[in-house]
Amino acid sequence: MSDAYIETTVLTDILVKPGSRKHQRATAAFKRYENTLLPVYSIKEWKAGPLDTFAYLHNKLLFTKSYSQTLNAVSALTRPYQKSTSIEALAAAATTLKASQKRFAGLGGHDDEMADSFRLALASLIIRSWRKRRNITTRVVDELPCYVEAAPRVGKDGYFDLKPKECAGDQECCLAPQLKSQTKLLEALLGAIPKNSGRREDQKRRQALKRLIKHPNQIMDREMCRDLGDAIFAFFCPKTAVVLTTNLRDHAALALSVGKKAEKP
Amino acid sequence: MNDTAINIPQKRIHEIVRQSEETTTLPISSDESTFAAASGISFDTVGATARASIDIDRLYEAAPGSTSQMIRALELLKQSIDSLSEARKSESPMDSDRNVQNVQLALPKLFACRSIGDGFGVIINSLHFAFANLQGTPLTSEQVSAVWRILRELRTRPAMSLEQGVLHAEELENCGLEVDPCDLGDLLERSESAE
Repeated sequence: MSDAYIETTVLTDILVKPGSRKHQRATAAFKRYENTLLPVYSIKEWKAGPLDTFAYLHNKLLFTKSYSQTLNAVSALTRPYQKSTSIEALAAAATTLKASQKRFAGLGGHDDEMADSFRLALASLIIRSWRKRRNITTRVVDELPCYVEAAPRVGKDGYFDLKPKECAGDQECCLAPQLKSQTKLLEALLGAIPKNSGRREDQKRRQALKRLIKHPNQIMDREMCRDLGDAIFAFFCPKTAVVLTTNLRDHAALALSVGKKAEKP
Repeated sequence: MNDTAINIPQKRIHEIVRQSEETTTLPISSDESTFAAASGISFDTVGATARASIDIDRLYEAAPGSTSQMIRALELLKQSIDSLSEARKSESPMDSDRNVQNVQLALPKLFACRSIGDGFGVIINSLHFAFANLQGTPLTSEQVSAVWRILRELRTRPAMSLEQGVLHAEELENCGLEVDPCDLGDLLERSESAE
């Protein structure tokens, strides 16, 4: 029995997809491993991604006080320049929901009541999932000294503020020394990303890896750290562990390139 | 017993109104906290920091014909708490569930009073989803007690903060109730499949 190094997609399934099949699968998968290790990088990505999306949705519901207007607003965010962001994904979901005429099963039948019911459910989930994040695995590993893990705040106006979502910008990324000391691993990771990939995240990851390999004396800033994304998991996953992710498409090749393995829940 | 037999609010509040003058003459003779049941006022008297805490029904006295959300919420909460008390006492699972259903029926009316505060709204909303996710399965006795405890607390502090409300939602979760709408998970899942 090996250990599992929990990637952001699985953390998301566990924390903010209550009652879904993915939540059940992820919860069951944890039992397959002797230890489940949660890197703080996952927490950082989760906060800046899905949790931020939920906060946006919460704030939009509070602002419009209308469920249907919120869905309209979110649907309108589907623009080409926003491809691959979680908001774009949410917009696609909102469009599907509108098309299917599915009604949110909240309290009250009026639009404003549905908005409030949905908003309160989101607020509750945002706060509870944040509190749970460090208690769902056997260990939290790879702390990030340059990242302040600040809890979501609710302002007096009722709006959520998730800042800071990034590491401090005035210093080099705390992961830099380890990354820079293993050039061969970086080269292997670079080789695992198709050169001709049209995906923006692949291009950014390749660029970040190239810079680390060719210019190790340059400062690795927070943008580079963010662009490395999935490569961070393959790099830092302990040899005795597997990367546990729902995104095998990206993680399988990266993990394999450095002699590790990625598994699905 | 059916829940309509429990009918404190207007009457009890009215009684308290009539006793209002007594508050000025209550003796405070020791350093211990005393509770004046008839007037609904308790006193914590510790030197110069003496405080009086006023019973919630006293604080929100109902004027005849009053329709304030707070009065309405306190009334509905009282009825729900009484129903849950009956459910806890009941030896028959069917009677117990019947009483719990009264609480479920009151939730939309309670939700209509959500302008009291987000803590209030979160608790009522969480209870709604807890019932919805049970899909008709009756609450266990432990769950009935948890809901009873939480509603009592809510009635004492109806204007609690969002964070305090979420703590109570966590209590519901800890006794095995699923307090989140499955639609939330669906929404993110749909978004992923749409990508």
